[in-house]
Amino acid sequence: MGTNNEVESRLTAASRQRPFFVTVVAILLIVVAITAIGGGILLSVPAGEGALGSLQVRLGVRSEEGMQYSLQILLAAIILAALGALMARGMWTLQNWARTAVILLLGAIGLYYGLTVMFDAAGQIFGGEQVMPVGAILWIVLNGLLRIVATSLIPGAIIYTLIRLGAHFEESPGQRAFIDQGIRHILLATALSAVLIVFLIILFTLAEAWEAIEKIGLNTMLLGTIWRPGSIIGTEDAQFGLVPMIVGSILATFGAIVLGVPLSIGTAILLAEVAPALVREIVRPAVELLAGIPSVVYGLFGMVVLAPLIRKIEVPYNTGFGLLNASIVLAVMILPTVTNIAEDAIRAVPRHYKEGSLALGATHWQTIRDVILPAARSGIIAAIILGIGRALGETMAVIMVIGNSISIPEPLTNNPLTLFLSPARTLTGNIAVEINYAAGAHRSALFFTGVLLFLMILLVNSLARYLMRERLSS
Amino acid sequence: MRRVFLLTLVMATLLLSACGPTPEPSAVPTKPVATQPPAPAQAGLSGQLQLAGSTTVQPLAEKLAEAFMKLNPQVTIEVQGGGSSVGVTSAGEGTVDIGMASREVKSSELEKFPNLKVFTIAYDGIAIVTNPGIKLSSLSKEQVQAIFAGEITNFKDVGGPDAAIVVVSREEGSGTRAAFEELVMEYKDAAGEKKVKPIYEKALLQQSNGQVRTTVATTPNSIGYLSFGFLDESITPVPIDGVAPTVDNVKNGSYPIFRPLNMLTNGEPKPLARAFLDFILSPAGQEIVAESYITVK
Repeated sequence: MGTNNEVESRLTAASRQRPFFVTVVAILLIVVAITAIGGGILLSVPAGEGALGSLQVRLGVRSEEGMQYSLQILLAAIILAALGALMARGMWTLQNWARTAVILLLGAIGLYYGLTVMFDAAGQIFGGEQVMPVGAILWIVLNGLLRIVATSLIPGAIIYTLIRLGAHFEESPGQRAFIDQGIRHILLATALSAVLIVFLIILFTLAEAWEAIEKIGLNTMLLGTIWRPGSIIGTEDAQFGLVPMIVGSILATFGAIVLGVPLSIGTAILLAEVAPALVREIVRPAVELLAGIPSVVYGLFGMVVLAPLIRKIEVPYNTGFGLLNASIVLAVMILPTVTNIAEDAIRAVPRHYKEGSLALGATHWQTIRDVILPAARSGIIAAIILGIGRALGETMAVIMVIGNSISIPEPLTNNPLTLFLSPARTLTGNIAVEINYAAGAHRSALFFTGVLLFLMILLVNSLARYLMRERLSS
Repeated sequence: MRRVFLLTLVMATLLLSACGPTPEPSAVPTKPVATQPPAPAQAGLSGQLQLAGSTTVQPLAEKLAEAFMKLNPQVTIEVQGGGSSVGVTSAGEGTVDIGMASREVKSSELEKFPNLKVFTIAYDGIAIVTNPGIKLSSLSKEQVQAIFAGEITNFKDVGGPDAAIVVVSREEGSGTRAAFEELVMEYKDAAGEKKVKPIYEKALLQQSNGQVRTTVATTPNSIGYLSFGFLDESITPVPIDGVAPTVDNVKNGSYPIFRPLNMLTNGEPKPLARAFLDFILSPAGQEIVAESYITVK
């Protein structure tokens, strides 16, 4: 009992020793509050003269609309002053919420000012017709930085002292619980916002596609083989059959998988099992770099390098643009995705599987082939399915290399493999190429293409999850 | 000791702030000082113009814009492509100041945008071009129609080498394609009705005149169509019925495939747009047009 009292009295004594700086900040805030009230009253005085008059003019309070706003300005000033006074009181009694509020406010003001200076500098550098000399640019940037530093010196100092003095501020148990609950709710809101966005996109696309479903009909769109929206010929003869695009998408994706998956799985096995550290250090960054290359650069590569190479195959009508070109480009694009996930799956196989197999006398390759790969099967299949999803959705690179013709892809000669030399169009390419000028039912049909893509990706993802669930449960 | 240090820090910053630079963020909007009438338009034009639409008109518009901007340094004109249908839609909806189209405006578009005003600034021919590896002496309009409809599939049927024809065309919203279909692909069916033969479905579709030129130049055995303004040494133009595709032949009427190049505005053009259009139709502007296109007068 005695010790309790002692501790209690020491605690209250410590909290009574307010640091001097807190006093300073509180005085500053009170000054701001009084200025705000006074200023608000002054500014709302109708006919100010001299310095007050010119200030009123500058702030626009003098004009017709400004006079109407003067009451609002007064009210706003009073409210701000009240808040300021409240904050000052909070700082005076060392409340934690006051400290947090002051820090956030000063931080926001500093950030806003910093952004303003940045935009100002950018406007000066890029505003004129001619390019500025490097010296002038550096001078403007230096100027801007100095302005930011000089102006954020006070707020920075205040924030610094407040943080350093954190120990002196009181935190009530109610406040702790409030912040805890508050953070939970905020995180839930951010997660829900993602769900909401997906939901809204689906809703919006479906709403826009509804006209096509009504006017053109699901039958025509899903089973029709001719796509001639007739924006020139006239919409009476318009035909909206999506089968050529569906076939084009499926064939391009199939080609990408056939070419890309063996490469990816091989790379994954190499990275996870076979490679010494040096090779791994080179290969992994290279694969990750592939993921970072913009898709339009892949398209350029396909147009300029692959097309002439493919044209060397001596088949009539072979233009170098077509499904083969698209398959190669897509295979390279899905390589990083599939490799990454397959490698994780292979690494996740428990070590004792491998050790047991090696102990029984199998070679490394036999272990990989008969023990590790079957064990990692679900992960590898998930990787392939993600690759399929990526290949289905790729637009920019594909429209540059696939020829965008509206016919169903057909083998160019008797050899069925020349199917891949035929030009085609994918569902994604369909939207990208025509959306700029489509109107009415045509535009709605393009949104329906989007809905179709949604459904295909949904199907593919559900398949992936179903396969993985089976694996996991067994 | 530390408390004294922090105290000094705060005091120092307070003192510094009193004599530090006073920031004047110019990006912070200030309310208008007083209601004044806007300054009247002066002889020195200033402002910004946005143009978008046909890729045929685009290079011409860029040259005209450059000349206009030299005369009026306070003016900026930005020119984008997108195709004639994009030009009509953008002009009608008001997203750009002037839309460009390399074809006539359709009746359905006039219904949708009844305030559309059309200004013809030039005439442009459409040339049939082949890859330099194919040398054809001449093609008749019927032969061109058959080739682009996919009925003739080998160059040997029209006097060329034995090679399968690769057809290159434009996307559906293209004004060049629309004009081509109207001028070349039209035929009369059994009932005497005017119909348009659809372009071969296996044709490679490109997004602009420039892309057609590149594709025809680099793809062997290819044939395509593009605007006169895009003719250069990388592709071979084909004479139609013995008439070579040149500006003079269009002027004297012997080359039949040409169309108007139009600039469109929604309602009356705003003063700066009006000034630009007047410049284009003036002798100075038409001189620039005459470099690769056919003038209006």
